[in-house]
Amino acid sequence: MKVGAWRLAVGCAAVLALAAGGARADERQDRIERLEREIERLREEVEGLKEERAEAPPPAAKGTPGVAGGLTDRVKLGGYGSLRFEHNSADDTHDTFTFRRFVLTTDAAISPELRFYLELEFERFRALELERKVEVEEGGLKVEQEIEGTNESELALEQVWLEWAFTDALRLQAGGLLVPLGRFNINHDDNRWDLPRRSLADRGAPVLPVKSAWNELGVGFAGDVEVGEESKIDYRLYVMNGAIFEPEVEEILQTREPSRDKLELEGKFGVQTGVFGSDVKDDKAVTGRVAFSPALGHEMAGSFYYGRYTPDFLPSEAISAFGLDGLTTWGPFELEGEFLYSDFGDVDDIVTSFARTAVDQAAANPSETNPNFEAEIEFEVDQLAETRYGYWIEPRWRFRPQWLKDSVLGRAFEDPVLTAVLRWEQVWVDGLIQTFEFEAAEVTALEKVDRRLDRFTVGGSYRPVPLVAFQLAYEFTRADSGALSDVTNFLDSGDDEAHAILIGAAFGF
Amino acid sequence: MMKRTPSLSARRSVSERLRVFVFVVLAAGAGRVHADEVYLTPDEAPAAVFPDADRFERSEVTATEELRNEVRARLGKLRPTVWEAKYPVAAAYRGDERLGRAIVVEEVGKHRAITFVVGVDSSGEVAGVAVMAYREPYGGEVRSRRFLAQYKGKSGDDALTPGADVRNLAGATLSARAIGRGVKKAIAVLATVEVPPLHAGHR
Repeated sequence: MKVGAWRLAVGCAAVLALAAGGARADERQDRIERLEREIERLREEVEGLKEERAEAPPPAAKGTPGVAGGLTDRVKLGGYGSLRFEHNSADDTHDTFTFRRFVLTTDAAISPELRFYLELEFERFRALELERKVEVEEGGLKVEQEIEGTNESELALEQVWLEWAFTDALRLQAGGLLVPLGRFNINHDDNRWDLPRRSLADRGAPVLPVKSAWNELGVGFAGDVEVGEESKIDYRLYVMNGAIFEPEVEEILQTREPSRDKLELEGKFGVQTGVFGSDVKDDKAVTGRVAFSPALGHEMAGSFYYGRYTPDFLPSEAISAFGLDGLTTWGPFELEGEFLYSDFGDVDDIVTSFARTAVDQAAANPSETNPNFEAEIEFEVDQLAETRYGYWIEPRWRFRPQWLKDSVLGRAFEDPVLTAVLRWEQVWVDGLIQTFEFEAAEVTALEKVDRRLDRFTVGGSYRPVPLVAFQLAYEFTRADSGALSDVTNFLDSGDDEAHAILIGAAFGF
Repeated sequence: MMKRTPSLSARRSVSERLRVFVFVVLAAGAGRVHADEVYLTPDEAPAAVFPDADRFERSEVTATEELRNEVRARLGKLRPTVWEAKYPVAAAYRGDERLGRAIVVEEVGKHRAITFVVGVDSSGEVAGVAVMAYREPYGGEVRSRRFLAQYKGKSGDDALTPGADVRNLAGATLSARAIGRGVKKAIAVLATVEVPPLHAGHR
């Protein structure tokens, strides 16, 4: 009996154990099923979120600094450029295509308040190549250096600055900054203009101490302030190294018949943009511009520049310059203009001291010692004048005719625009040094002339989009006396007048 | 009680963290302006174009392909440079009177997007425009009141082209055109959808 009871007890216990185990198994099964359902639900949710993210196209230019993709939003590359074909009636000129320039721009928004901007210009630039070789030869050492490049090539930093914007009204800027004299220099991008050549006062026979685009290394402030509901004032004020009186060295190789062949090195001193390294003088230049806009589309401004430009080895003479400029807009009609005046101080004093310092204007090896070959060095002053002043005025009329929008030229674009333009400009150059000779530290000849240059341009542009302009112009240029080459830097002709047809294209991106 | 396995707990935790992360990213990227050069926040934007409103009911319009096609049809030759994923919209009220709706849009100026709010009144005309974020190095005058005031009263039938029916800004043509494009896009979106409020909110 006892054995049976035990067996029964064991059997019951076994059954109970099995039942309990079964219950736990059921519970586990329930839990597993619940977990599986939860996992399935979460999986569907994640799939749904993925689909939502995939459907939404990324909006343009969004991004936060520090997040992947932020760099491409913070740093933007752009540029502008132009080219031109010219037919000119003046002697010693040729029909030519000109690659005027390509300027690469970089704009980096480092932070909400800090910005960096750069413009790197390639002007008439195609190639620059340097080759250098060192050899042991004929018992000695030979060094060869060859520089190749296309004519008139220039590679330059047009702007390079850092800005700290405290507010709209107060922005600190430092670096290579555009000199705010007049309105053209600070708005010089080729694609902003409807004619294929820059103005005389800013470029061709510059009243600006340095031809546009003129930038100098310095620091200062800029800002704009709203005045009431309709008006605005904006200003720039900088301290800079400033323009300097500096040489270019020209090498001339010449064969002559029956005279002996010649190698000449010419040091041409003229007013040029200042240094980005060690300045040649202690004095700094100050420049500024204040513009008042009484209402949208209208602006008038005054600007100035003052700074020593002579190096330490010459007497201190300063450039004093001022400008007045303006723009007015009435519907499709615009009128824009600028007047500039530059005074270069006592140029007589400059050339007298220059003669004293350089001693002799020219020196050459005597023909007795070398009858077949002449080597000469020479010093000159280039385009130095007592004062320069001039203006340009440019009325424009913009058309949006329906026939253009319907034509093959315009139908692919949202807002194609035709613009008719006139430009009238004059430049006066007073006290232009035409002859300057010195010997034994004394000036032996100094001749100055006064010149006036007039130019009339009529033309227009077609803009399929705002950043691109196809330009056509007729230009008549005349000097009141002497040669165009005396007063311009783009017409190397002995004629006193020239007619030109210009066809150009300017672009930006 | 069955103990949660670490792997299941971890999966739930990862899922929750994922959801939170996604929410934060979406909240940061859509409906909130870029952190740089911000002049108005999304909260402030509707009041900038409806200053007389005493409350706003906010909602969001998802830019479906159907919506985009309808907007494209309304815009004709005009081609927006940005197609937003969502449009934050706020219906503006003064008392029981609905003044109009404010919508946030973006358009690229020269290189970077300009974020702005456009208020459109009940008759479909522009009640106001305000720039929320401007990111270009030049052309910032498009933010000025005197420039943006030109858009008040304009409708989708107007060209809104700088130099044509709107005064241009010298040196800021592309930014000015971006504002015009954005305003027309805003009008077109609001004309296409009737936005129900997700919730009744207060200013």
